[in-house]
Amino acid sequence: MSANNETSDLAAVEAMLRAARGGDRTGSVRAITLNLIVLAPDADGVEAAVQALEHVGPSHPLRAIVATPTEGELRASVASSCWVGASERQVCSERVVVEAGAKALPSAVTSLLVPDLPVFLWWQGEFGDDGLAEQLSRLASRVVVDSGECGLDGVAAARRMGGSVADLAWAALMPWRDAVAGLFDGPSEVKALERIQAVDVRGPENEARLMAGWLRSALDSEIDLHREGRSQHLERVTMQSGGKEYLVERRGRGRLGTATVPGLVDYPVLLASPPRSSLLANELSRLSSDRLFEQALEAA
Amino acid sequence: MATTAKRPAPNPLRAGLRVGGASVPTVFVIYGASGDLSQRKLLPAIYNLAVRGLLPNRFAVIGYARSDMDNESFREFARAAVEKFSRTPVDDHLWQAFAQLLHYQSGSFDEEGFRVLGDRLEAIDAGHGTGGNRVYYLSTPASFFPVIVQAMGATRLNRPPGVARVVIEKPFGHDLVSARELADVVHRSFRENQIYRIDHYLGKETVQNIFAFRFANAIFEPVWNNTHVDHVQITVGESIGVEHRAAFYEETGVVRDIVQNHLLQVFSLVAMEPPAAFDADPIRDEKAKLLRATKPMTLENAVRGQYGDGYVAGEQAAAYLDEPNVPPDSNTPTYIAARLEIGNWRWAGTPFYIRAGKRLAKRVTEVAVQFKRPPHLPFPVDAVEQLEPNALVLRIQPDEGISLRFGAKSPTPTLALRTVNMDFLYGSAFLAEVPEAYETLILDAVRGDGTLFTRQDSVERSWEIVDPLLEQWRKGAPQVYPAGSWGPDLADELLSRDGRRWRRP
Ligand SMILES: NC(=O)c1ccc[n+]([C@@H]2O[C@H](COP(=O)([O-])OP(=O)(O)OC[C@H]3O[C@@H](n4cnc5c(N)ncnc54)[C@H](OP(=O)(O)O)[C@@H]3O)[C@@H](O)[C@H]2O)c1
Repeated sequence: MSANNETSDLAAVEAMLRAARGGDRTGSVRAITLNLIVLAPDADGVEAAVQALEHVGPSHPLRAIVATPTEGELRASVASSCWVGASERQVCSERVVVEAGAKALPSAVTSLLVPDLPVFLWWQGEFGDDGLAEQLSRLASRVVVDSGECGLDGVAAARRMGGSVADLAWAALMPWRDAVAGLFDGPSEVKALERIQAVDVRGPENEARLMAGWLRSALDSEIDLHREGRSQHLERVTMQSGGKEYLVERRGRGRLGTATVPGLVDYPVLLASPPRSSLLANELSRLSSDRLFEQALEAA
Repeated sequence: MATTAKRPAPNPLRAGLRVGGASVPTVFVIYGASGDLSQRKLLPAIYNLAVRGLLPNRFAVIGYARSDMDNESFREFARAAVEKFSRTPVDDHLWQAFAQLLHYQSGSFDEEGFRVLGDRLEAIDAGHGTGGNRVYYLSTPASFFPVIVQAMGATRLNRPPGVARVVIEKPFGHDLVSARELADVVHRSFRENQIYRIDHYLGKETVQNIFAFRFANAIFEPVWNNTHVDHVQITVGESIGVEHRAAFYEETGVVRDIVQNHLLQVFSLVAMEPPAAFDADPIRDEKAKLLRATKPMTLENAVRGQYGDGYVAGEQAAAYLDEPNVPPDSNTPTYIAARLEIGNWRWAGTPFYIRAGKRLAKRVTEVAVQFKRPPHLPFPVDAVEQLEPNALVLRIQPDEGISLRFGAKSPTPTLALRTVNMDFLYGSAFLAEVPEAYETLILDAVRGDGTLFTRQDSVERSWEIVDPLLEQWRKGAPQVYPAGSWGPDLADELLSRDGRRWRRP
């Protein structure tokens, strides 16, 4: 179920959302758990946000305020989506898409926040060092960016705003980190970790740097990063220790990879990261900053 | 006695990874791998855990039974089982990788067979880096448990180079004496903290929901005691009859089937003291303490019933005595109502009434906490005649939720107070796919998290609570109640003599 409505009067938004929920006569109880501000640079960004929200909603009933800076007049449109689960239960999320000049946008967003609930900001694209980024970040307890879009410098800029920061690209690395950690799960391999001096990564720059930063901070040692060619996706991570090679490599384009540990039979590993909307949903489950990520970022 | 756990140096890269998953390399041994439980539950659960990325990277399964299979045919057997029973469809690509983890060894439950199994396990450790850590799952009829455990001791399968755990299914005996006998046998080969007893009536979600409700809210726990609570009612109602399991049920009856394990579990979660931490042993300590404070059941405080014919939800239902394979003079109870008393500071004087039965009006499990009336009602008598005392209902199934009953003024010109219910359904705040119970249990056994498993002290104490009644109920006959009702008249009398009545769930 979904309903749409447009207005240029933000004071009317609450009533419109109520109507979209079917009014209060039906006795519907709103169980919203958080506010999510999405900064979408353009119409494509809005579309991507709307799609992601459809997936995030069922596990995180929320109010989303999708904000786009424009040259034109202030405009808002309102929608509510409900999902029916087992035994006809419903959960609902609310969505307000608002366009306004960059100066007006923060105040528009502020007026639309549900009181007393935590605020998250999902900043799409490059993270600007401008007033808008600063003002929206200040509203939020946690800022979600994607270093694939804004680079590690953009993540660092977001961190300077003070709150906790999440990077979707870092989150997507989880299966890779897990597979790499798994290379050393046996008691004899734990010792091999002490002699690792370099890591070779075939993959995008931000991911390669995060991988190396993570290894440096987790092992507390100097580790050189070699990038073996450029590719759009992470393909391979290799490490040498005592003349032996430990590696994780993707098989073809699939979700599986192979782990190679000297002395053992090669074994399969899952390298698929969940869809972006699930990564986003995960980041909405925590408020505090992720120490491990921050340390990896600092060492990247 | 068994191994001391060897703790290898931790892998520093593991920090922060696999929260909720397992990472310690492990071989999972299924005794009875060709059987029904293995096909229906274990193999599909292991497959789904693998697909969800929750099993250790270095993981292998070895099936053991008499059936003649090799690795290849066991993999085909497993694939057929997973295709039939998995909650998710089988992904061809992922299956190829998963199948590599599956191994099979054929043999009997004897030392000769287990020596061969031991050699296979060592070979798997060497090739797969599983480090000698083992989870042994006894998926066989309970009569084999002592045989298997004893043979494992004799062949030292209980002392692998790594950590060993053993998972057993209920029943854990049929009374206190047999429960102790079984435990004695198992304890000769495994320490208590290596034993994982499955009694999965309450899913992890539910247990956590009850804990979260009780211990994460400052407004409920202060009134959760005999000062404010008049009494508590726990209902475990089934609408089905014995179906085709009469032979089993004749041996069991409602007390062994539901009360000794399931109902006392719900009871202890609701009544226990807050644990110091949300960890296996603190939680199980508090549960055991509560059961120790609970007085054994007595004839005077209990009522038994057996269903007659009638209608359940519009369908005609036969009487228990007319079910196939039930002897015509059976006195097996299919219903119990009882008054439980807890001798501790929190609950002394506040009775817990429990009831459980087959062929009741509907399938429901709930806990209703009935609060005392306000000390004084400053309203005209006719304004409050419809006002019921506050009640808080924790519904466990079918729709898990919480409902609070309180008084409110009805919108009429005269002052009239009515009772209203405020309902919260867990499902309407959060929609998420809930994994199969066996997935959670297997994962917890591999991770070594015993929270959801039953410890021997609780097993024994719950037998002590029900044994006197079982003994006295061997004689005499239960009162017949119509199928589709809420039980026999005597159950109503049990409460009315205390000036109370059952709520209608
Ligand atoms: N089935 C369920 O849905 C279910 C649900 C909850 C709990 N449980 C419990 O789970 C346990 C297993 O139940 P089940 O229904 O799976 O039993 P089952 O179908 O009878 O399976 C027994 C298994 O043990 C093997 N076996 C029997 N005798 C053997 C021997 N002498 N040596 C070696 N292997 C032997 C059988 O295989 P071979 O014939 O190939 O040797 C078979 O694999 C029971 O404790 C039951 O109470 C079952």
